[in-house]
Amino acid sequence: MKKVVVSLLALVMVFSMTGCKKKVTAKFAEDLKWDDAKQEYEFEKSAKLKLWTDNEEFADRVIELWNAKYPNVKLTYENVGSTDIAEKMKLDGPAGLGADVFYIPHNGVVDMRESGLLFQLSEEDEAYIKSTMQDSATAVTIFEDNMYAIPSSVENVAFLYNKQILEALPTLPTVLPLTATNLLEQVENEEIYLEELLAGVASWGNNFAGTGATIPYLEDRFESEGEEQAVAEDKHTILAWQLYDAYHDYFLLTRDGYRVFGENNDDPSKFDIDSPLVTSSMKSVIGDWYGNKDGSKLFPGLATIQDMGWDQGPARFQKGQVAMTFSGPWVISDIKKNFSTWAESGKFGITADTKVEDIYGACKLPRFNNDQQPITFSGVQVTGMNIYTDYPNAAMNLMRYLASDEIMNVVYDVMGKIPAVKESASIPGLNEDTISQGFLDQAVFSHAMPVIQEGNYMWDPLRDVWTNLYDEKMSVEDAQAKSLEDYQKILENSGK
Amino acid sequence: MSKNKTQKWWQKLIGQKMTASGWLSFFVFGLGQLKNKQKGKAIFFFAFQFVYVAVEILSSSLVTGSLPGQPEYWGYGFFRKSLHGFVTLGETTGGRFRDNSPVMMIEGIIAFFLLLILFVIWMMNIKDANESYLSYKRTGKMQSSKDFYKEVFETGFAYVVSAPALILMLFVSILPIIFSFLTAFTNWDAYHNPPADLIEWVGFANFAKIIELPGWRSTFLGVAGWTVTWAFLATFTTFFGGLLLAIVINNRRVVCKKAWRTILILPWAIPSMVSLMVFKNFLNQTYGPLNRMLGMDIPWLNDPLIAKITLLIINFWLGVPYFMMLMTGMLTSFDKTVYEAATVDGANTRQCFWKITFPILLQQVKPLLIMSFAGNFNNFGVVFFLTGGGPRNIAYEYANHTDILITWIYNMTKNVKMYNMASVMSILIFILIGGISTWNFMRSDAFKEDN
Amino acid sequence: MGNTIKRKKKMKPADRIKDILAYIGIYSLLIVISISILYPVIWIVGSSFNPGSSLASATAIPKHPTLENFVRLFRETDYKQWYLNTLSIAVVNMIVSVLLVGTMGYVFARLKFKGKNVGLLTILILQMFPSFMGMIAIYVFFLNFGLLNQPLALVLIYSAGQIPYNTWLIKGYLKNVSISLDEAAQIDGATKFQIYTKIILPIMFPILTFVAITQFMAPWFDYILPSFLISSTEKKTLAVGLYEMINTQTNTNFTMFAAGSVLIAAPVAILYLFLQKYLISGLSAGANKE
Repeated sequence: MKKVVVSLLALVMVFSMTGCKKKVTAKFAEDLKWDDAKQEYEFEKSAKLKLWTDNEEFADRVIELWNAKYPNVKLTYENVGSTDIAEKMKLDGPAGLGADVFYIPHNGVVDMRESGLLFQLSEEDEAYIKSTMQDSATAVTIFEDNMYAIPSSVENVAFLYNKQILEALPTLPTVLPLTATNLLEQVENEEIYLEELLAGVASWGNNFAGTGATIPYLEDRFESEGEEQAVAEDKHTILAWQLYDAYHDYFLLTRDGYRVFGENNDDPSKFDIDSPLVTSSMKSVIGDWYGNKDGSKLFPGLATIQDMGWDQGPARFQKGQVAMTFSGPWVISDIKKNFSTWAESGKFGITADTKVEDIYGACKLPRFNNDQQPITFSGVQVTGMNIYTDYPNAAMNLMRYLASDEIMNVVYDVMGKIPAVKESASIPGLNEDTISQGFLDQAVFSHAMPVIQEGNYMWDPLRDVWTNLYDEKMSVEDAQAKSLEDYQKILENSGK
Repeated sequence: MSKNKTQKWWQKLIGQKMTASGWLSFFVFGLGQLKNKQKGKAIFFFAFQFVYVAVEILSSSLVTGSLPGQPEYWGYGFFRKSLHGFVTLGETTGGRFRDNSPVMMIEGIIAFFLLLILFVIWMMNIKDANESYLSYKRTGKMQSSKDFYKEVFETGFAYVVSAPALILMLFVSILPIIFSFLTAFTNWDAYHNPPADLIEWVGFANFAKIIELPGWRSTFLGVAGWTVTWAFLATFTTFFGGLLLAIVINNRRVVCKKAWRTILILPWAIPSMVSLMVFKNFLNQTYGPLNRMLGMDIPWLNDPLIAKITLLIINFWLGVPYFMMLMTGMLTSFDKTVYEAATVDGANTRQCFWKITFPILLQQVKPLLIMSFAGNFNNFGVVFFLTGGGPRNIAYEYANHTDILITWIYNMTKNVKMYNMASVMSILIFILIGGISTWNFMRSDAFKEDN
Repeated sequence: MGNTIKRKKKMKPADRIKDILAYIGIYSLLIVISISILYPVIWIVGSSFNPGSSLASATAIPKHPTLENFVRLFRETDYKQWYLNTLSIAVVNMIVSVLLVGTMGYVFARLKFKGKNVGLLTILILQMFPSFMGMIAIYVFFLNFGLLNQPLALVLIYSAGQIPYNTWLIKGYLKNVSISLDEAAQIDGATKFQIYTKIILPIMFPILTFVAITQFMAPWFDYILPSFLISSTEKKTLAVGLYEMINTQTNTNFTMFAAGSVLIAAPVAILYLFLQKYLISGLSAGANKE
C-alpha cells in the first residue's frame, strides 16, 4: 500500500515537472510559407489558435465566421482585459501558454514591443496592410521601419451633445455670422468658436436653470435624484467632461501649434510643455471663465478638477443629465446598450422608431478663434501576434483575416467601433452613421498617442498643468514650469 | 534523540558516528537501511533519490531531445539548468532561443528549495542508518519498520504534522519574498525589459543610487510618517471598535444576538473594492450625495487632513466587523470561574472587565494586533481605491498626501517600471516594519514563555 | 461579560433604574452603530438595482428599481459558472485551512520542540515584506508544477498564505485553556494524536469556526492572482470575472459589477448565521474545563 502511494507520488512529480514545460522558441517572418494558389499562408497541420480580447459578443461572431471558413483550424477565445494583456503575455508568452493573436490598445504596442513579445510582420504583409488601412493608424504600429501589429479600429475624442437639450437652448453670442436659431443649429453649422462656447456656457453658470430655457423631459433626466430641488441645484449640467485626464484635455493646448514630442510625436527631447505656444493656447482657452477654482465661472463650486471624472462627466451625459461633453465613441456604445430599455419605458419620449442619432449627436470639436482646429489624441486598437506562437502561419492567416472587410464589418456592427480602413465605403452603414462620421471628422485632426517609451511618462505632467492652474491656483506660466519639472524628474529617475 | 548536549554539530545531523550502514546511505538513499534489513524504510528513502534523479534525467535533452541550434544549457536537466540559470540570469536573447531572466531566477530558487528538502532527507537517511545500526549492535534487536513509523509519529509528531504546511509555505510565501528581495540586486528597470533583454546581477549598486537621489528622501520621510500614523490609528480604532461591539452584544440585556451580529458583519462580506468605489462617489465634494444631503461643502477627500480622517473612518467601517467577530470568538475562551471569584470579592462588572478580562485579552491578541498593524501598514486597497493617494502634494515625488509607502512603491513601479528600485524601497520598508514587529513580538508573553 | 454573572436575587429599586439605564444605553449604542453600518450597505445594495451602468448619482432606494443588472449578469456572462468555481474553491480552502491550521495551532501551542517560535515568527515577519512582484514567482511555481489554469490549485495559495497568522491566533486562544487536561490524558497513555482529536479539537471549535469563515471569504475577493494564474473563461473565479466588467475603457458596467458583488455577500452572511453558534459555543465548552 505505502509503496503504491510513494511510487504514485513520484510519478506525479516527475510528470508535472517535465511534462508541462515545453521548449518555447521565437518565430520570425522566415518561418512563414506563402501559398500562392490560395493567397494565404500554409496552415500547419493540426494547427489550433487562441484569441484574447475583452468583448465576448465580438469574439463569438469572429469564431463563427472563422470556423465557417476554416473548419479544420479550431479557434478559441479567452476574455482578457486589453490593458492586462501586456502584463499577462510577459509571463504566458515565453511559457508557451499565451494566445496566438490578441487585441491591444496601441500604446500597449510600445510596452510589448520593448519586451520582445510581438511578431514582426513580413515586408509583404506590411505592404498589404499599408494598402488597406489608414496611414495614421498604421503609423503607430511601426517602429524603426518594422511593423509589429495590425490596426483594427480607431478612436478619438470628439464633441458629443444631446440634441433634445441643445435644441431647446438659445444661441450664444459669436463674432461669426449667425444663421442658427438655437444652439443645436449653431453647433452643427459650426457658427461658434470653442472659446465662445466655453464663455457662453460660463455665462449660464453651466447650469440648466441659468439658461432660462425649458429643458425637455427634465423629470426623466433626474429621476434617480427624485427631488425637484436637486434638479434646480444640479451642478455643471451644460458641459462636463473628464477634466482630470490628459487624454481628454490635450486638445486645449494645441491652439497655437503645440504638439507633444514635436511634429511627429516621437522626439523625447521635445516635451516642451513650457513652450509659449502652450501659454498662449491656455490663456486663450481659459479666457475669464476658467481661472482657478475660486474664480471659475465655467465650473462654479467645483472643489477640485479631480472631482469631475467619468462618473460626473460622460456617465451623466449618457443619462441625459449633461448637455455636452468631450469624449470618445465608447460613450455612445454604452448608450446603445440601454436604448432599447428606454424605448420600452418611453423615457425621453423615445419610441421603438427612435434612433440613437435622433437624441445624441457627435461632431468635430468647435475650432479655436484663430480658426485652427483643436488637435486630439487618437487611439488605435490593434491586433498583435505572439512571437512565441506554435503555429506562425495559421496565426498570421488569422491576423490577416481580422483585418479583412468581413471582420471590419463585425468590428463596426457588434462593437460600434470605427474600423481603421482607408475606404469607409467598404463598411456598410458607416457612411450613413452621423455619429461615427462626427468622430471621423475629428479624426482628421488627430494624431496618435506617442509610441515612444517616454510616452508613458507624459500623462501625469500633461494633466497636471491643469491641476496646477486650477487646484493649486498657479499662474499659467508657473503651472507649465511645474509640469516640466515633474516630467524631467521622471526621466531622471527612470535612468535617462 | 540523544539528550547529550555536548554533541558536535555534525553529530546532530548524522548521528553518533559514521557506520558502514551510514556510508552506504551516504551514497545511495536507503542502502544502509537495506543492509540493516529494514526494507520498508529503505524503499521510503530510496524513493526520494529516485524521484530527484528521474526528474533530472527526464527533463534533460537525453529524453526531451534538442532543437537545432539550441544552446547547450537548454538541454540540462531541471536542477542543473535552474541553478545555472540563477547564476547567469540568461545568456542568449534576440534570436530563436530566448532566456527569460526573472523566470530563470525563480526557477533557480525553486531548484534550491527542492534540493534543500532533499538535503534534509539525505541527512535523516544517514542518521537513521547510523543509529539503527548502533542500536542493533547495542541491543541485538532491529526495530521493525512499523514500530519505527509509530515511534516517529509520536516523538516527532510536531515535525511530521507541520511538514506539509511548512513545505507549502516555503513555496507559496517564502519563494515570492526571496524573489522580490533579490530583484533589488539586479538592473531590472525601464530599459531592461525581459524577455527581450536580459537582466544582470549588479550587487549593491541600487542601494548606492538611492542615497544619491535627494528627492526620494524627502518623500520617503513624509510618506513614512503618515504610514506609521495610519497603521497605528487604523489598528487601534478597528480593534477597540470591534471589542466594544462584541462586548455590547454579549451583554445579557441584548436580545436577538444572532441577528445583531449578522447585520454588523455585512460590510465585511461585501467586497471592499465595491464599497470603496461607492464611497468614492458618495464622498465627492462637488457632486457627492453626502454633501448634498447635508447641505454642506465638506472636502471629504480633497483636504489633506480631512481626507486622512475620512480614510480612517472608512477603514473603520470596513474593518470593525472582522474584529467584532474575532473578539466574540476570543471572549468565549474565558474562564467563568475567575469572574465568580471576583464577584464574590465584591468586584463589579466594569472592574471585572478592566482588571481581569482586558489584560488577558490584550496579551492574547497582541500578536494579532502586531500583525494587523503590519497589515494596515501595507493596506493597499483602501488608499488606492478611495483617494488614489490624493489630494495632490506637489512637494512629493510619485506620492500625494494620503499615499502610504506601499502605494508609493506601486506608483513607482507602474510609472517608470523601476522594479529594482522599488525592490530596494521594499527592503528599506521591510526593515522598518519588520523591525518594529519583531521587537514587539519579542516583548510579548506569547513569545517569551516558549523560549 | 455580563451574561457570565447570574443574578437570581430580586433587584433593589436603585439597581432597577441602573438596569433600565443600561438597557437604554446599550440599545441606543447598538442602533446608532447599526444605522451607520447599514446605511452604506443599503447604498451599495441599492446601486445594484439602479438603471444605467454608472455608480454615480445612484441612490439608496432607486425610484425605478430594476433587476436588469442581475438578469444581464446571468444572461450575458458566465456568472453562474464563476460562482460555482469560487464556491468550490472557498469550501475546499475552508476545509484544508481548518485541517492544516488546527494541527499547526495545537502543535505550536502545546508541544515543545526546537525552534518552533523563531521559525513561525520568521515566516510571519517575512510576510510583511511589501511586494508587487511576488506574483511572478507564484506563476513560475505553478508553471513548473503544472498547476496553471487549475482553479483548485489556488487553495494552496490561500491556505498557505494564512497559516502563520492563523496559527498565532489559535495559539493565543489556547493559552487561556488550562494544559492540565492534556497532561492528565498523557499520563493515562494517550498519544498526541488522541489528545489532539479528543481534547483540543473540541475546545478549539469557536476559533476554528472563525478561521473557517475567514478562509471561506478569501477567494471571493482576490482578483489579481487568479487573473494571472487562470486563463480559461469557464475556469475563472468570480472576482476576476467581475473585475473584467469594469477594468477596460469599453467595459464600464459598474452597476452590474455592484450587483455581482452584492450576491457574494449572501453566502458569507448565511454561513456566518449558521456557524455563529459554534463561534460562541466556547461559552459552554469553557465550563467543563476544570
